[in-house]
Amino acid sequence: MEPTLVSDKPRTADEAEASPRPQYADRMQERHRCRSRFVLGGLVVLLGVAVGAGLAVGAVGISPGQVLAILGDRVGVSLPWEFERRQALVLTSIRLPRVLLAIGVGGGLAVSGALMQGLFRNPLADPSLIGVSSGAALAAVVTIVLGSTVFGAWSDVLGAFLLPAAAFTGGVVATFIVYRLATREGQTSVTTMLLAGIAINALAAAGTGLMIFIADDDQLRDLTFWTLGSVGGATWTRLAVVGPCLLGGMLAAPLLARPLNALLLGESEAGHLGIRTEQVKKVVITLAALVVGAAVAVSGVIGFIGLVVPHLLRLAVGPDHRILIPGSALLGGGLLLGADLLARTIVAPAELPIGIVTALVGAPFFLWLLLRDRNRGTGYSF
Amino acid sequence: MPMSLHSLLCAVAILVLAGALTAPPADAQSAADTSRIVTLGGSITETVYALAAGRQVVGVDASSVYPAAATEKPSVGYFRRLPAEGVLSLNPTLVLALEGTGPPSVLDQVRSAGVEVHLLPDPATVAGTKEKIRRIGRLLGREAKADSLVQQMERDLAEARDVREAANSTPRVLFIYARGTGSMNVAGRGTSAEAMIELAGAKNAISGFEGFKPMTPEAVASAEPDAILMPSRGLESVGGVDGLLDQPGIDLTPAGENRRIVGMDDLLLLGFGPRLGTAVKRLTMKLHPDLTPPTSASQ
Amino acid sequence: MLILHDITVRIGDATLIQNVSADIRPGRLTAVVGPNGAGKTTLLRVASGEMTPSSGSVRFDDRPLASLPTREQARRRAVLPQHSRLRSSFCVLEVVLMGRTPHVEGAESSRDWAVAEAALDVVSMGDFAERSFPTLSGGEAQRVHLARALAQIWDSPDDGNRYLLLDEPTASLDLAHQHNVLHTARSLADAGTGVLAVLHDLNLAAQYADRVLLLQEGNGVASGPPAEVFTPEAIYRVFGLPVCVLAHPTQSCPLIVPDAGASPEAPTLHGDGDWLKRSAGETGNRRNGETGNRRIGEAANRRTE
Repeated sequence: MEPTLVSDKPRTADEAEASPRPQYADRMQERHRCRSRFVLGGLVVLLGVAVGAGLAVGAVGISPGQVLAILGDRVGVSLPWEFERRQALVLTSIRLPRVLLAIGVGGGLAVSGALMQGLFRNPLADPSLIGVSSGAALAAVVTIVLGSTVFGAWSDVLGAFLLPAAAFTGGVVATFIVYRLATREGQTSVTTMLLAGIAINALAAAGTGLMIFIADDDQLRDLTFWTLGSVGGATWTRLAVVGPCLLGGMLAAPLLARPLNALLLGESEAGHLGIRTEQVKKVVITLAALVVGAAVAVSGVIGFIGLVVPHLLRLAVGPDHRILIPGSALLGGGLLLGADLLARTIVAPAELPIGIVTALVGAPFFLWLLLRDRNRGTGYSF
Repeated sequence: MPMSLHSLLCAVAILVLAGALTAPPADAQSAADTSRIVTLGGSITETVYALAAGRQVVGVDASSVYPAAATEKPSVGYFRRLPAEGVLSLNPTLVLALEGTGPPSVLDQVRSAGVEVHLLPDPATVAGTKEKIRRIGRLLGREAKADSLVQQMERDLAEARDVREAANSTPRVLFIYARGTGSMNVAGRGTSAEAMIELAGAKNAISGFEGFKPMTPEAVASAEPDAILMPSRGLESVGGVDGLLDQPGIDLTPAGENRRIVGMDDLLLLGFGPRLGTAVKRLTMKLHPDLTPPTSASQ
Repeated sequence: MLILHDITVRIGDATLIQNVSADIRPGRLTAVVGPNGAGKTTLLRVASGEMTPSSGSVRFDDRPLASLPTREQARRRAVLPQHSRLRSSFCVLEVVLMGRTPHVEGAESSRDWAVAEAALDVVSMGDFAERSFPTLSGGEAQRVHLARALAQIWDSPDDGNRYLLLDEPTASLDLAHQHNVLHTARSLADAGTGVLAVLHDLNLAAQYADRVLLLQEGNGVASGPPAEVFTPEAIYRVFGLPVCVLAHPTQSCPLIVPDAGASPEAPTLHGDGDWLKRSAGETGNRRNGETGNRRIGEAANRRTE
């Protein structure tokens, strides 16, 4: 059999350059541009609506007009709607920081999830994989249970600030341990990191279990509520403390989009494309640890946002991290804001822990994703 | 690190604030605006109702289950996890709460809306309970009524003491706190359960540790209790007296052999509120074997 | 020139390659051949900077490779991996566009997109631009990755040269596309790019390479033009397979034909399905025959001559 070349003789690189006939390039570039504008624009609108609802709806009745008037009053613009002092106070010192915290925590968790899934090239990856959540949880539980022994009667008062500080430290320390375990001679094995994360998670869970074992009833309830999460603890002070971490992380994350796209090809392939993969890993892990550590510290453990939001977006707009990462920030913020709105209105004047709401929405969605994966022969392409 | 410095400053500020509020002076003397009260903590709600101020109560917490009228009021949920806006939406003028109510940042937000917030200490003692009732009486401007509540309590306690002296026995009592058979804890030293057992002239069968610890069959058997005391909801959760007797170790104790299992309403038993006298009287009757027929089980 | 001098790579107790030298010259296609485990891919990894040798030096256009920033290397040197695990639902053209990564700041320009499409045309995949990458067959995916590598070194740098490192680029391709890919690589070399290709198929190496480096168990055993390296003796020594080396009927290169009647080992050469079937049929007839044994004896004699 005589080897025959394919029918149209391949052109050399120079021939092709000499006669470029971009047939798809222009159209696809334009579509690309439109898609990111459309998607990100749409998400901004969605977030705007969620912010509006988050400010105008709550246990205390404040009409949209009054919301505008109160906000206007703050910046020296007088609007025709009358409002009471208490309404102004509820809006500016309770709802506004709460809305901002929900956006920061939701966006931060979702962005960290997108970063983790990109780095581990694993659709099931979420921030808890690198030990940050369990480390924070262990530190928080230790603080709740042993805090009163160590700090005596002051612990109730100190606790409000001790707990976030401890949780943040715990999360960052656990991540650092996981990272160190997976790093040898400057090379970080992503697989080892994943397994080390599992081991550290198990250890932290054992420690948490031990604390639960010796906790009294009030502490146990505190623990339960903490592990279900809430953004109800939002104050301007706390926002000022964790805000830079959350916002900084969200603003820095898009810089990792291109490296993460390249990493989808594989680690050595990314290296061949000029990506310094070890540095990318370090930055991703650091960002995720700081953002998730700050989020967990101030709002407890909020599940599913970090896992589900990047998937939702990937389904809608594809795997390109340049849309995925900013999109996750916007959608994560919007969704957590929505979840918080539900959490604080369903059983008003009481509140549901927000973790219940996100899990109630997240778990069925996740199951649907899995089933859909199974039913489609090719599977959900990550 | 800016964060720790910041939080330290805030902590100090709040500490000063909290110190000013929990110290007995000033606030306790003058009656507050009591037109709309939110009561957080079962014994506080009970006290406010006992002081005939129930009509002013506009909101309670999840632990306020007595009297029945209180359960009809809007609930703001768990008292250690208050929603700031939820509390403010009730438009209260006064918040009466047990110590430990929080989180502190929410209490600050409520205070900054011009609502008077009082945190009341909650010691498991007769003196502390009297003081709590008197203090609420002062805050509501119902000192006389509070005094009469305290006097009634003293009369009940005296009655209980007489009964106890007549009984002439000191039974060993094991207190079990259960939420289903999977979660059963026994009360050690320093617990409010122990305080009640001692007020009723009995002795805590556990002396080896402080606080609550998970129940083990051997620990139960070696404690050799003459009677087992449980909050009635906990007793129900393990399947009543028969369910409890099926638990390993229980049948080896004198209490199990004689079926001396005492169930008592949770809030009545451990609330340390205005019904303390009644609770002690009733518990005394139930714990001393010579005062009640041995078949007596729950209630 | 990309020069690998006296390279040794050890991992733990294992020595993967030992004292191997190779020049990847602009304008030349250098093929690395050898049996499985000979260290071919290791050599390529050293050349790409992915692996640091235990001893020896790698110089990239007269500079130590390590002194060149990763991104700068990537602008001048593309690598086509043996197999890639991309499962993401990117469009084919977007995958090729990733090859432009070391060249872009911010968003890709229209030119980057046009280059990507032109590169796709070179591998005859132009009409697949909008297809979702995971729906491609293995061979199609491999060609898209080649296009990505081409897009990466599309432009000639102001100074220095371009290099293309191919790790078994024909592994999952049919006969026509094997030649298509090597033809492309050949054209690139003719246009001044230095090409290094790890190949399994000796005949492909013979037909397309200027130089061949024959590796055995981590050692370089022969190096030079295909006609010099591919002797029956050398091939028998390295692969343990008796072969006849003929003159190619139409090309000026050697043609290696297995002559492995009674060889206990399966032929190492593969890639051409028809050839395998045919040779299996032929050898089957004389598997236990005298002929096979005699021929091995002959080959052994030739080796000792």
